[in-house]
Amino acid sequence: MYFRRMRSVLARLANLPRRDESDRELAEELETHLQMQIEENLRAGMSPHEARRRALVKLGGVAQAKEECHRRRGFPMLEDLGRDLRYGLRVLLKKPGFTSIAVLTLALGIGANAAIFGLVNALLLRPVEGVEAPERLVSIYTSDFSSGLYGGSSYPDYLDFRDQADAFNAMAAFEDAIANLNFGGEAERLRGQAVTGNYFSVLGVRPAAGRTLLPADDAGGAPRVVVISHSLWRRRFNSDRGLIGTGLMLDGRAYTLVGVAAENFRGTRLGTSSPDFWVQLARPDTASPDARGDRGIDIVGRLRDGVTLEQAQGQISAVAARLAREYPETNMGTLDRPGEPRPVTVVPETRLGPERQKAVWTVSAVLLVVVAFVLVIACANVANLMLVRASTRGREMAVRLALGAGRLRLVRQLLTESLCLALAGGVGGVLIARWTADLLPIFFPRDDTAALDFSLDWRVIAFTASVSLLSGALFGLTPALRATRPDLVPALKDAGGAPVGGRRRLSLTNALVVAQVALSLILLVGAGLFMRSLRKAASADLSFRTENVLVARLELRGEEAKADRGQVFYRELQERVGALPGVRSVGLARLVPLSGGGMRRNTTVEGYEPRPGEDIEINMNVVSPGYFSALGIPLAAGRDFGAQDVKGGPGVVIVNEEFARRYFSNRSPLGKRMRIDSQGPFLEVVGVARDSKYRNLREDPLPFFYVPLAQNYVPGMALLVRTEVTPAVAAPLVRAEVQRLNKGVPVFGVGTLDEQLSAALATERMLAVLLSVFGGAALVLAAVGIYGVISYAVVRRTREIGVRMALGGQARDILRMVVGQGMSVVFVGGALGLVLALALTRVLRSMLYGVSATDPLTFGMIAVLLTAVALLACYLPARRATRVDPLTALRHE
Amino acid sequence: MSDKADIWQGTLALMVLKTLEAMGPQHGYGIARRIEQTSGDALSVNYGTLYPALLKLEQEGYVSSEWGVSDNNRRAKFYKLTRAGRRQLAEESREWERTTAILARFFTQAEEP
Repeated sequence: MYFRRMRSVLARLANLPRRDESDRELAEELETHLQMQIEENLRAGMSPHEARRRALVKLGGVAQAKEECHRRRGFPMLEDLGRDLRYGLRVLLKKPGFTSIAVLTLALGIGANAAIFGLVNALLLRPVEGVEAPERLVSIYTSDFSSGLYGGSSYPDYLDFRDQADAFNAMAAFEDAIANLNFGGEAERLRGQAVTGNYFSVLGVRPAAGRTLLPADDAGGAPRVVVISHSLWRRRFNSDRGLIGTGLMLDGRAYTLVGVAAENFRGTRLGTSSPDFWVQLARPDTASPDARGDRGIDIVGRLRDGVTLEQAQGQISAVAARLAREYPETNMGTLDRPGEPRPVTVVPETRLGPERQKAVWTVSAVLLVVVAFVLVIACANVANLMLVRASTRGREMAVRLALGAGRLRLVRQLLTESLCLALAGGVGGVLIARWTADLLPIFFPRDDTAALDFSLDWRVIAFTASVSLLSGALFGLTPALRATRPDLVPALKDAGGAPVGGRRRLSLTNALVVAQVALSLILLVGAGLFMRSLRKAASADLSFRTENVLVARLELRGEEAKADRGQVFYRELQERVGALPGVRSVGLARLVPLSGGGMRRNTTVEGYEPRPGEDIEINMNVVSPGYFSALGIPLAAGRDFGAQDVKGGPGVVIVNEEFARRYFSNRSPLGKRMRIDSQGPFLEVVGVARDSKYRNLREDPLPFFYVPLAQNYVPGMALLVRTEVTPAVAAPLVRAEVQRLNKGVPVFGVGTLDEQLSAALATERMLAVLLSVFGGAALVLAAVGIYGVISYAVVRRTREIGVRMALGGQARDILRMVVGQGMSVVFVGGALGLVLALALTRVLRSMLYGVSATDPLTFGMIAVLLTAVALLACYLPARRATRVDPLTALRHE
Repeated sequence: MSDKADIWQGTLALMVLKTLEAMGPQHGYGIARRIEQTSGDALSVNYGTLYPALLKLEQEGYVSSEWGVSDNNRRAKFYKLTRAGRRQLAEESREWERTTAILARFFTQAEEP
């Protein structure tokens, strides 16, 4: 069957050039046939005239046979399509007004979809770049119970997975690493990864210069080597090949630079900035019993050909169960799941990792639904335009049907016109998406955008094309069916271009308006909720003052990081920066509040007996004297840390009010004691700080404590500088002071506290802005839709209005009648929209801050806004109706 | 014309192939007459059914055609069966016999009480 079809297509293709000749041959053949039939008839004794007549009757239509053969010699479907396209384009070009409005409307709707899909594509769909066959890569996670399934794994477990599961071609381990690079007299903090020697071969990443890391680099006693990213190579080393093989200082230690990774390889993960270097993963002592409990590495594997994810998961689970039996202390469940092996999960490698992937999908789903609504509204508008046009083309269709055109054929032709419109809209949409691709990165932290690629790829184009075709069918099918409905008589009888199918057509357009109003109301309510949420969040009481604070991060590495040197460095830095002009106060902190990080420690509070199973891991921070005044956090009691709190002196701590309420039952905590872990030294509470926000805006009051840097040294600190004027001025001064103090210490993450907080609201802002834009677009489209329908109704009823006027109707009555009819449709849509919005916004509850998902103020304001716009859209055509001159109106037909 | 059965499109192709097998190379008129005669003039073959069917068979490679001279010295296009056509005919005949045999069994069964 298949071969027969193939052969037929080939034969037709081969014969195409001589199609005319074939037509002539057929004519000759038919003529011969006729003559033979006539001769036969003559032989049968008929008169020549009768012989000819009978033969002609018997053989039937020559033209039909010729036409049929002609069609069969070509590709009739394609040829019809080509003809329909030409005809469709001609019809569309003849009505430039209609066509441009329809195309523009569709371009908006399709463009919104293409833009959001571009975003989803960049975040979720694009495979890991720069690696071979990314679809065969998987990540392997060990559950750490406290935070779900996707935790790190231990090195000894990795070795067992690698050696005992044959579902994988190979498996590599890596962990994030940080290093300070000193090169050419300039220090820079780099993010990178420590990886096993097979990492690059597992991923299939080639070097752009030199070599990648190799399994031989894992051997004990192998020299320290480093591979750098292409972007670092270009940025810091001027793409100099001569440097390969020379030494490089990282954290004050000498490495040999052996190669540069391929340009398009930026690590496997988004989110943290892409790695700039790769060094060997230090192999822990696998014999040590602690090694299995230390789950700090990530595992990436490549599935063997033909192996499914499920098979791989099965093997890994079997290994995990074996390990749990063998090493129950480290590999058996704890706390909430005793007696179960720790789950180990194999997931396809994605750029965000399984947890962020899920979170981003949620936001993306909201946005995709939103733009789908916008598209439906746009399609409803175009469908309405088409219906109006179809009714003016009623006669054309009726004539063609009467002349024997198949209805299917006509529907196909009308649909082709719709598809022309849709594809033109799609092209416009792609242009809009290309333009917005440049705007989208503003919604993301700078670290992320470096690795995000918003450019249009085949997925975006394919998506846009399918959306265009789909919308073409969506807005084209009903009008096409409606236009070709075969009740010819009234249409043929009708004299001019007057519309057909009056009442039903109108009820359909009304339904479209109802849908438009309802959908745009839902979008606007969503936009309103996110706007209010963003404003609430931005003005939330953080209990610290964010304006005029400069943040700069420092991390001492290598020898510099030793406690005695580090303490001196930070003390001197704080003094020097404090002495800069325009600086009010300076503090140091391990963590900047609301920047995403956190530290929790098991705590024992003297005199407090925890309930069984109570979580006594308490959030904390390491700060220097001056931190509280730099952030403007008032102390409710006691004192700040000071010069007297030195290493070796009595241990001190400052707690917050919630801590005091919870663990000291609200009695004054000053002088009370606590300790970190159960063996740490006792710390005396010397101050109580006001509660503030620590980890995120949505958190409930958290118990929290601060310990002084002098007694709890950490090598990485953030400098917080409160300035008189704009903090940006202080940034270069702070950098200069760090340089003067120690040239080898890089400053990074410099910015104002305001900026960093607004980065914390990035998702909220993105949703608020995008929903407002789309909600606004929906409102405009819906208004245009209402306007169009009312205008058309006015035109249709010109005669009736004329009669009313002639009979003494007042302009006011006409106005009321037209506006009233329009608004009744709007109110139905509005009510439907309100009900749907009430149901739908519940989904958003977890994304909102400080606003209920059914916030009456938002709902009310949006309803008023929509009513006002709809009134305007009805009023304009209604006013035109009042200007109808009864005389011309009555003469109209 | 109206008292004669129209030809079911699918079977016409089979009749054409069978006719060519029986008669050897033949022109369109010859094929049409033979089909009509074989059917005992129960069938009538007109332009609109015969020539599209011939074209289709040719495109599928079951028949080939060339111009020749008829018995009455007329220039005519002669169709003949190709090897693929012979195979196809054998296959479709088998299929046809099978179908009719099955149907026949239904009808004989239905007549039993």
